[in-house]
Amino acid sequence: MPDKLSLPDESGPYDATLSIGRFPFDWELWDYAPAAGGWAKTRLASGSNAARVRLPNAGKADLVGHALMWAVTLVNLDERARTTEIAVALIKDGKPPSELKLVFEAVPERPYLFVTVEVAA
Amino acid sequence: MKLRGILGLGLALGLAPGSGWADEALAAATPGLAPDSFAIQAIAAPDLQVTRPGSLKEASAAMGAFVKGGKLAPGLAVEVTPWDVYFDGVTYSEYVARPGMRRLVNLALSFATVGGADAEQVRSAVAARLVLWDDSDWRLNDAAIACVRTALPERPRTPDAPFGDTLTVWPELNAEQAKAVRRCRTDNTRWNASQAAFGAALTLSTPGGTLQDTRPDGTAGWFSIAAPLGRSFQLLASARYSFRKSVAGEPRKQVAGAGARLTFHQQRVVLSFDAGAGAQRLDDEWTGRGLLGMSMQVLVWGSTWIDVGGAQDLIFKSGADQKLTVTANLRWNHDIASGLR
Repeated sequence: MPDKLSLPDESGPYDATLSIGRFPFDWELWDYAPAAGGWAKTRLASGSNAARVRLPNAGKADLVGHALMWAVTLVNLDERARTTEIAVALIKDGKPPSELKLVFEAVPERPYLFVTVEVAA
Repeated sequence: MKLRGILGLGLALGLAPGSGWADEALAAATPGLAPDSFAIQAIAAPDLQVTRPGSLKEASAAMGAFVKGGKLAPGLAVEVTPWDVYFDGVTYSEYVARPGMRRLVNLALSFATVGGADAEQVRSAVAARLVLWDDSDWRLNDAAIACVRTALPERPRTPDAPFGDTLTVWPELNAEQAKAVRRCRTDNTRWNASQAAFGAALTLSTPGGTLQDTRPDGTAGWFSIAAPLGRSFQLLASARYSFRKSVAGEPRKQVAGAGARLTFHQQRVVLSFDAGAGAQRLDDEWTGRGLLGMSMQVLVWGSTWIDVGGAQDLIFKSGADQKLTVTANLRWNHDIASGLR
């Protein structure tokens, strides 16, 4: 199971952010909502490099149990592996962010990353 | 890292310099870029294997290896960059926008030791190498980054259900795709990119390796700058200085030198012309070195080069005859790693 990331407040709006060390990258953010017999997936946004995305879901009840997934293409021309940090956060203005950090070895041969978190209360 | 197989054939004419004839002055006169691990240069041990830790934990373990049985261990070298041990906090956008931050994360801090048996002193150096600017940095190269975006195959479609792991790294590029990506760097970086760096070191003596007896005994500095001249030429200049006070019966020593290299590169041919001058002072005895050199490399096929070079080395020593050494070299050089990639 993916790690859980709790919402920073009872009510929205919430923003989601992703940063990956000092690498340029392209991303898409997908929302997976539980549905009868599986999941309903929606592409929320796409872009390049670290960015903040406003989630369309209005409040906690709309988001808890969803999975957010960033599909990432990393641009990497380093000659050696770099220990790199991935930081994912759920943010509500005026509240401390809810954050998750991961570490991985970035090498040019592995440019595709999928970062998934389960939204918790 | 490049693995190289080298077959060398050397020819020396004239009188080769004796061991006491200021080879350090010749090294100071030879043009070169200020190296990452400046500590090993500062203690004249360039062949030491350098450990480069990738995390705080590894850095801590590497530093711990310098102390064995309560004494400073000789023959070790470590290089740390803030980039590798403190990898969070700076994003790509900040790296591009903030030159000061860029210099900080690329700062190379090094520590090295050299010495002999237990009773002898261990020499060590702690050094920093600061890159003032580097136009070959791919992160600042929009064309190289755009090239990678074009060269990469399309990312796989997102699955119908979310992945079960928080981080899924998949799929890997095959060898041909990885080669195409790497080519984006070489194809979009000027071979003669402008760069400048400065290294500074403090050297220390530790009699018998006893840590509490460690005392500073000297300093060293190295500045280098390289600039393109059109598309086919590069001018590189460097200046070096080192000082060591009299320690354990060894005389006080100062070495200084400066050199310049003009390089021409077009297609399969690389031509370099070197000129430099250096001086060494041991107590009150001076030795001067003058260097004039030329080398030509020709790419024969694939990654196989033939290298032909020659140098004139002039020695001026107080109270002694001048000496002239002329050397010529013929070398075959094949980049094994590049052939395997």
